[in-house]
Amino acid sequence: MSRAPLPYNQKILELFKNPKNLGKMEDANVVAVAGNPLCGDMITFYLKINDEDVIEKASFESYGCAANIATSSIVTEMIKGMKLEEAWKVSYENVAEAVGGLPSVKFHCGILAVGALKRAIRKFYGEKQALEEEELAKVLSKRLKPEEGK
Amino acid sequence: MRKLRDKLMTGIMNETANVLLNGPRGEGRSPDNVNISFLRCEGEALTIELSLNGVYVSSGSACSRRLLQPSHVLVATGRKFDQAHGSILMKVTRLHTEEDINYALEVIPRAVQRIRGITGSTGVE
Repeated sequence: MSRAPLPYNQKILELFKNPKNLGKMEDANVVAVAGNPLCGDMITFYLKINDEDVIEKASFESYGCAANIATSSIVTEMIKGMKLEEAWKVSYENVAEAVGGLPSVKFHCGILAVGALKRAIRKFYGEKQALEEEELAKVLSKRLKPEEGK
Repeated sequence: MRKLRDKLMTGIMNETANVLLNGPRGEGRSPDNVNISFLRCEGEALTIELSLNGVYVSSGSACSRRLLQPSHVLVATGRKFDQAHGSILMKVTRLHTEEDINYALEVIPRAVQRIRGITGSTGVE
């Protein structure tokens, strides 16, 4: 009565059995969640990005199928040491190629992994910009204070 | 067959936390059927993990189906999407032995624990 297993290649099965960079990262400076409510797959990406905008570390957690786990794992391997602008250019095709190809019904897993990465990068720049604006507001308010007293 | 089915069903329900039995208990249940939702555990991943360990089952998870939608039957019985995604269907046949059931009961909790470890804190309620 069991269904025939999906035609996963050895690389995907190996990444499923021994995923790289699995787990929550305590010192991440950006955490992004992406998911597909219809299929039910969800990924959390944790990135540690340094002052030069280089990804020092990446890890993931996944509520998803074997292809989802494999593509999330390979993305965290691919982007380690990359500058954010380089990581932004990682495509679904790059990911599918890196796992040795995906069954057609699993293309969305590669798309989701890349989507989660882009969401993390956007979030990082959004937070960075918010922090810079906060710093600027502090500087400006300090400068304005003496004038207010005049 | 019913005796082995009950051993498998109660064994899983007793040994694994956060599980839901799909369908009725007792006479209203088909004697070969065990259908359980493992919460915070994606069904297709669990299916693959079990098959790698010699236990062959099927899943109501969207990801195990080419339609990419969870089992409409489980959803119709009132299961939420994430509960249906974590469902596993097991069949006990006349060819199974008590030894087979013992083996499945040894493998299933370990497999569920590993897949839940991959889920981690990812947002599934």
